Amino acid sequence: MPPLRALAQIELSWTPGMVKGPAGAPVTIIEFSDYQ
Amino acid sequence: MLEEYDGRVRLVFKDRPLAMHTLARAAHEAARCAGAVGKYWAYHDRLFAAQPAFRRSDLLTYAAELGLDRDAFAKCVDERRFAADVERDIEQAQALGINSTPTFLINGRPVIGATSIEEFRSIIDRALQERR
Repeated sequence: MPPLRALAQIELSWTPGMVKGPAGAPVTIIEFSDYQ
Repeated sequence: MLEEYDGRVRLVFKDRPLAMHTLARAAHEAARCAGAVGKYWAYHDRLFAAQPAFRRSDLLTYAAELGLDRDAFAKCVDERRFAADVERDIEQAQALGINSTPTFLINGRPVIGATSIEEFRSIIDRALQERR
């Protein structure tokens, strides 16, 4: 598995409508996906 | 999986259309058009079921099937109203070195490529234990 760059160095943002589950959930899965 | 972990897991979907997939970016933009009228996840599911049929006419048909206003949806798609939002997701992915899909970050831990449900459970369970 290739190492990913440190998350701490990247400011991730997301669109509220593209999130499922409660904001306070202890586990967050961020899925980068391609429809095609 | 979200149901299984009832309230303990949150899923964030990020656009990462790959350049080699020539119809993908339009599909990602169209999904955000659907999201603007509260149908993001229904449209998202429709796209995955229909891949790779993502011509403009296909995208409009899927919207109509979900009860969306076809003309308003077409305007959103044609104006590329959410192009900058998709581009921002792509830039964030590239900044992280994410160049293949799907790639998941589970509490920051990368999981790259198709992964079994069992492995997902194992990683999530470990992440939950680490949060205790």
